Amino acid sequence: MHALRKLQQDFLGYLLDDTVVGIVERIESTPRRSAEQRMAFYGNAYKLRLKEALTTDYECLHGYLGDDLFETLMEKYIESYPSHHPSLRYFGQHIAKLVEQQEPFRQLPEVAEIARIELAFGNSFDAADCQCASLEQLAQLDPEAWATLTLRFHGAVQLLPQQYNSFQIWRALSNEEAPPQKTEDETTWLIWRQDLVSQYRALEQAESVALTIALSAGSFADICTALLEYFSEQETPQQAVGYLQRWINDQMVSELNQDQEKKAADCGSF
Amino acid sequence: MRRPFLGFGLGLRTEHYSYILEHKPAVDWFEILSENYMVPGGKPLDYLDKIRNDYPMVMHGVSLSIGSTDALNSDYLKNLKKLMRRVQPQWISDHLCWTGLNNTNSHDLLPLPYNEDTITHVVDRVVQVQDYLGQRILLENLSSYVTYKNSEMTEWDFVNEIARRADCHILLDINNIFVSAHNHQFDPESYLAGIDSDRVMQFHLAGHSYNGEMIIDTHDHDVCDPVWALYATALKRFGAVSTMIERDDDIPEFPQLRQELSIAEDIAVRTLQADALVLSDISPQQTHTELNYARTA
Repeated sequence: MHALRKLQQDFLGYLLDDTVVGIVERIESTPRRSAEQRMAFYGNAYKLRLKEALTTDYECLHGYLGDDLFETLMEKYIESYPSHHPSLRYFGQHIAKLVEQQEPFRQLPEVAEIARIELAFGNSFDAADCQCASLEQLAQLDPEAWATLTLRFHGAVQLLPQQYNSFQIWRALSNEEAPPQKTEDETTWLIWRQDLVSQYRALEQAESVALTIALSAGSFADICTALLEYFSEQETPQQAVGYLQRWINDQMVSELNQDQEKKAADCGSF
Repeated sequence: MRRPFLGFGLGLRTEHYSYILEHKPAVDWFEILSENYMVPGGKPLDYLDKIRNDYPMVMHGVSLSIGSTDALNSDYLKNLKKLMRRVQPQWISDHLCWTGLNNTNSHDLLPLPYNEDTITHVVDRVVQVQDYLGQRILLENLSSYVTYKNSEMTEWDFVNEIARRADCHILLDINNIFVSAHNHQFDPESYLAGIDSDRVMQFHLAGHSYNGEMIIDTHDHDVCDPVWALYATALKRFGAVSTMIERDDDIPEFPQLRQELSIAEDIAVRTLQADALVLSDISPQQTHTELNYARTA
């Protein structure tokens, strides 16, 4: 076991850094191929496989950066973030972090945003399935329960606050069109999944604030209080209910949670 | 041993989901790549469930890392068992290899040295996995590009010994035998002759690439004539064995792949008595009872 572990350490060490060549002396050479050449096959295959996964998951990022810069990004990423998951599906999940930290990418802030868009679509694609709440359930709520109502959301629901027109760039690239020039555009985008298909839309600031509160388990009353910044006292409850109905219609909400204390009191009254 | 015979199958690939659901093509079974469905939800599992309703399936993994000197990955095993309960496969397989160390995954099927220490190590882990899953697993022979100086036996003796001591089955990849035979200069027929017939439960067939010196197991071409010839030899040696074609790159339209599978059927009919090719009595929802596993030791 000790000898096998040492061999595996040397082998993996070579894959992660091909200047670490302790493994080569453990490999048989043949007249046709030296041990170095045989190990080089594994070294090349390791990088190729990881690059193939990144190229598949970040197709638009690749299109935006071009072959050379994307190749540089992949090399840096493979070196900095070895895979710690049994599935390649999760290998590229830190790429936006690397882009924000390392030159020359940190000079291009829209690049991290594009990476986050592609990651968010990947996460939405295979997020856990769940039963969705219905408008009927909403209609049946006790009027007194509304103030403390909180929502539980489908795992595919994600908010992406953007500083640039990265979504427009992403959309053009995914349609195989020339992307627009980068411009500042502070918008929050919503990604969710409806009938197994990922969807996206830009949010008005008021809805973005409401959804941010709802996603952090804030209550309907909390949402209404925040919306007073945008609407009159008369308009606010109607606006908040309108958001709620749309989220439910779009299959974003998995559960309507009434206040626990209230529920317990209700049960006790029987 | 009465070996369950599923007939002739194909690897389930995303490119073919719609075709399969629309046309319900005549394929005896599908092999799924387990890791592709070890996800929380969404379309992958939705398609899986729909296709599973119409076809028997087997599960084939690439990340068990049975030969690694890391501890077995309990999260991976938990997810594998969860998927197993969902799919109710005829059986589960992975590779006789290691894929990573120190919690770092190479995502490659890396060869092991063929010696007594490795056998002891792997057998212990196969027993743990089978105990946890409650059934025997199949281990597949690799295609490889290096041999270690501390190997002490042939690959086929290594495979046999692990299968015998761990009481597991063998998934014999005919193309991998051909690839490794070329790369390491051994006789592929000696390999077939050396494998314990009772342990063989499934065959893989696939295409490969030749780079002028080494043959690479790329799964991006049709099965070539020498591999078909080796398949016929394997059938003579082992009898009727559930057979499938793996195609992972340059994936053709489904009818073309189905046509290629019919070559395997024709060779089997020509090579074996026709009555040997009778499907075992299985339904899409059934797990084969012969694989149910209870450790007696």
